[in-house]
Amino acid sequence: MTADVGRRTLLTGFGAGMTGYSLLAVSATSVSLLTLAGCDTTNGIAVAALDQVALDQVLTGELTLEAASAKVAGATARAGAAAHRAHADALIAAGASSSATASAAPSAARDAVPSTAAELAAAQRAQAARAARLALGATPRIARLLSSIGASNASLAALAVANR
Amino acid sequence: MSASISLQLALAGEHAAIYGYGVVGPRLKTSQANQARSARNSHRAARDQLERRILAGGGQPVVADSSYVVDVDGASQQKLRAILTSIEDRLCELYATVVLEPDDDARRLGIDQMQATAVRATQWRGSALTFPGLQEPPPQS
Repeated sequence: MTADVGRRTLLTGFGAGMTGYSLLAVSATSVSLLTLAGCDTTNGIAVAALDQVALDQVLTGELTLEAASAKVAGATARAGAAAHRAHADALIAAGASSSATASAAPSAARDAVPSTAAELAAAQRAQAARAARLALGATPRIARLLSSIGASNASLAALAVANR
Repeated sequence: MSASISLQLALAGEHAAIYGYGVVGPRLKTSQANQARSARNSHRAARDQLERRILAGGGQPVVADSSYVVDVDGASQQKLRAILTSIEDRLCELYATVVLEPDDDARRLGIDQMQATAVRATQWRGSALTFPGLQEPPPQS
């Protein structure tokens, strides 16, 4: 059966089920304008100091997780390694310092390096919490990127638990 | 975009999600129907949280429509899960807009709900998105 049709349109992307276009189109435009007007770029313009700290810390975590994922067996861990690599690339593109790359190894040595799927999932949950905490103090564009990376880490951890 | 608009859009999304779960959930097999019921309760809690925040800011929370389009005609279990995945993915995008707000409480709500919706989408999809909530992937170095 098809449930009856709503009067108002609210959400797009529900193509498989729920429809609606107008409000979301407004939303997407507003987001783009806000992003352009309210945030700096990394093309030669200094990233705010808080952003720099946040980007570097999350990058260090992503590099550690990428290395750890590569050592854990299973398709989920392999997919996780690719995701952590993509996160790292996006963070560097957003202005994360390459010095974070160098600090990843000492960090990995200092922290317990995950070697099992369960440990990896725990480390991904910790990374999700870290990204969320740092996003709170970041400028909007960086906050959104960190939030997305945090959400991805939470998802990867949930997936690892589900596939155990 | 004012705080109230992004919060109102998220609230409108939660209204639609609650309706969508109500239509799809009972059509799922038992274990997943239970999972859908739990998710629907989470969306109700998020709706209530958004309403409180909008009211606290002096706004008038947007009300739910009487109905929404949910095409479940002859849908397979896989299609039903895809509908729920889509609902969570779109909500995650709406909460990513809330994260842009300067207000700490609104931003915290957006961040928390991005994680919650992304995890639920992953459970329905069976795989994780690399950049949930972002309509376009960020530039790579």
